[in-house]
Amino acid sequence: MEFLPVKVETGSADEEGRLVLLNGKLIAVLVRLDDPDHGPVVGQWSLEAGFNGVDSTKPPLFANLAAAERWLGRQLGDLIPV
Amino acid sequence: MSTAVIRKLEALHPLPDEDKTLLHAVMGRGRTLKSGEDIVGEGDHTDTVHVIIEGHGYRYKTLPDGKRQIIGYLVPGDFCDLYGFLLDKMDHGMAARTPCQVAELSEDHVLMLTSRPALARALWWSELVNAAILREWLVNMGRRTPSARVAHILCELLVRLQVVGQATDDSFRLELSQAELGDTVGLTTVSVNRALQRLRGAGLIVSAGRGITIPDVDALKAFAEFDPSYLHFRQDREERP
Repeated sequence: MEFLPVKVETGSADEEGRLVLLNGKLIAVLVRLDDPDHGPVVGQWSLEAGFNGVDSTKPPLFANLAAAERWLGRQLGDLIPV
Repeated sequence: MSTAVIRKLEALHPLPDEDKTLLHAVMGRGRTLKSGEDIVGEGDHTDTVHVIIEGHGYRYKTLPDGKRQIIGYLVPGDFCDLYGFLLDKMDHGMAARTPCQVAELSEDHVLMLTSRPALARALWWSELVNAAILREWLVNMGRRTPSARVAHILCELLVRLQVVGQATDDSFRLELSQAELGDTVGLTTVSVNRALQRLRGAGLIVSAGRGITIPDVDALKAFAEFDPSYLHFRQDREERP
């Protein structure tokens, strides 16, 4: 999995993002929560978008990118052909 | 103790004084619930009909993995489960979001109320409105942007609380966490947070502590595409041509 730094326009102070690529293809967009309005979860990473099975109506927040990578790996492993 | 119920039902259909006296008599003082406590648990059977006298509650369903969807808000004056005693098991749960005072009516009480024509009509209206709210929420979740979804919920709460005298022309107390709002509109806490920031940034809401003020109610309603006619309150029915 590759994590490419990118700036994301969220309309808030959260702009530090990562494009997550698997085999050169985009599977997720992560954004770090830097806006003080997030309170205790400031500094954690949020899943802003996911593709091809990387989706959850209530994704967890990730303490760091390694934790995000583990969760993304599990999501991809859980793929069910429909 | 029965003021909110009378206000709510009278907002839907006029009631003669004897009906109000009867309502007052059957409501009693009610049972006190702590915040978070179930009014009726999901899957439980109930022999009694619950009416919110004081405090706020919500209807919910829980998914096997523990995720919760809030499917309605309960405010003072609301009947939670008017015909719930017919069901073997409740198909959803109802819980107190804040400390609540909840009246418990028996099936006989309900028969007594529905044998009076004006009260029966008012109760039919309130059940129609419950279904209409659910339809509106479905549209809200499926077809509005995150900030419009949140704005629509705020508009609905404002109007419903105004009817029972718990909101001013432009403000009310919002005892609602961002996580609860997320479970209501099907968004993550992060998305709800951004939606609220957007509404604040646009000057559509002002929040201070637990209260929320809406500086320009018409502007918020326009943004949310909020049309109160689905709540079927007489004030809106009668104002219409």
